[in-house]
Amino acid sequence: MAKFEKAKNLNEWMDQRLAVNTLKKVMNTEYWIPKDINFLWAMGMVLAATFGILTISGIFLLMYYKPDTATAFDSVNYTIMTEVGYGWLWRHIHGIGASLVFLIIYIHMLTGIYYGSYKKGRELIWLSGMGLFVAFSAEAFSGYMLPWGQMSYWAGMVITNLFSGGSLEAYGLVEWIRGDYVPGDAYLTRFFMLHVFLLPLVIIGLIVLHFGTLRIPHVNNQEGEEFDYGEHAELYKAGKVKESKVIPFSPVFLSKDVFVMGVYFILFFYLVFYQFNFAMDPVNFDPADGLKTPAHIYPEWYFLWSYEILRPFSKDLGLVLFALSQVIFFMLPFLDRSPNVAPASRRGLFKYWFWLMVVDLIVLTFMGKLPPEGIWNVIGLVAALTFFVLWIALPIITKLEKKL
Amino acid sequence: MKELKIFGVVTAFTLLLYWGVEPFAHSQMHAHVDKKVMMCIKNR
Repeated sequence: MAKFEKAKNLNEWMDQRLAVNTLKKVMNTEYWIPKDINFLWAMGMVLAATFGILTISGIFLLMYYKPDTATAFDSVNYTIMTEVGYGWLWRHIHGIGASLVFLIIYIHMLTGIYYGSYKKGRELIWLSGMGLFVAFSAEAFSGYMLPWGQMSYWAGMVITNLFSGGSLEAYGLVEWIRGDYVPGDAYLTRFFMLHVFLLPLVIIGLIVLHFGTLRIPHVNNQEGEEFDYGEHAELYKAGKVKESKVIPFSPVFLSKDVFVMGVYFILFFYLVFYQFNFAMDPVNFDPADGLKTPAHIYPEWYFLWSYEILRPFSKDLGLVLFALSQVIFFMLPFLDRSPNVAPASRRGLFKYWFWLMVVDLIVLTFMGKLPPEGIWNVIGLVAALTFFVLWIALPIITKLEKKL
Repeated sequence: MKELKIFGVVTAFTLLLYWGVEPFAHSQMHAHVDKKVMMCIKNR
């Protein structure tokens, strides 16, 4: 056993037992962040804060929500919205939080793609981040089931049907997932369990891993510049703050993070109080009815782009391409064959690839919500095909890229 | 200045996204449903 001296204060007492001072250094005061970054580098902390707010609002909603097909709808729309003091506020915070978390995830992802922050030792940052994207998607879908409205029911029906594998007709698997022939009580209760327990646990684990993967390769910077972190950390510690290319995570970088969060939360609470409707689909204010299919079934906005990849093709092909679109972003570090870590603007053809991808994802999102008829079908098909053409072109154009 | 430019780009794309998914898509959807209702009335 280690020898313990009598501690002079609480900090020393804790340090003897838990090495808190070393932890503080490793994770805060001597965790070095490059200086040459912009506000997009704060998105990670904005996401962490939004996840925190989703957890807190979720805990309050959990106190009154009832995971039972007979009472779920009323527990949300009657009990929480009208009877519980400020229940409406917690629900709107949770709804807006779910929507904004995806907006920020997409900005965070596209920032990583633009600056090439997924290669040369940063592959695991990207892979764990994509794991988080998938876990958040499952979390959002399972949460959407809980109010047990028409859109909950029919979105649940459509998405679980995908597991039949088209012509494979694996209905046994679909029934196993649902716990019934159609979404019912067993279905609601298991998605409730996933939403409030298993998936949040997975998300927390992945967040820890995601932070961990950043520690050794360090955060990328605006120019993709490689430099000796140890050397610049020494300069900073020696007081040569101007010459050093790094700043400590806490308190210097964190103070900028907090400023960006402040701006973000103005938008967040503006939406919560004045524009909460956009995160609440009107169709979901009708209770679930298995005998009445709504005229338009569409997912929340953040799933529309992949939904549109499913829609314009035949059943089997659509399913294969949809499955592929869900995992293709995982492959990014391996499909990008260029050795350059630099902003897209300096990477020749990749610049056009990036902006085409952004525009294509937006077009797919629009088409996913529009009724599948006439010109919208044609645009949707072209956008879906463009998505795959871009992925096929990626290794070729990045291989051709000149070394910077 | 660079930060403001980036902020402008992010905001413009976000607003475009919002416009397409909310007011624009809904205007088309309602038109679609209205058309169906009108057809039902005419067919009676």
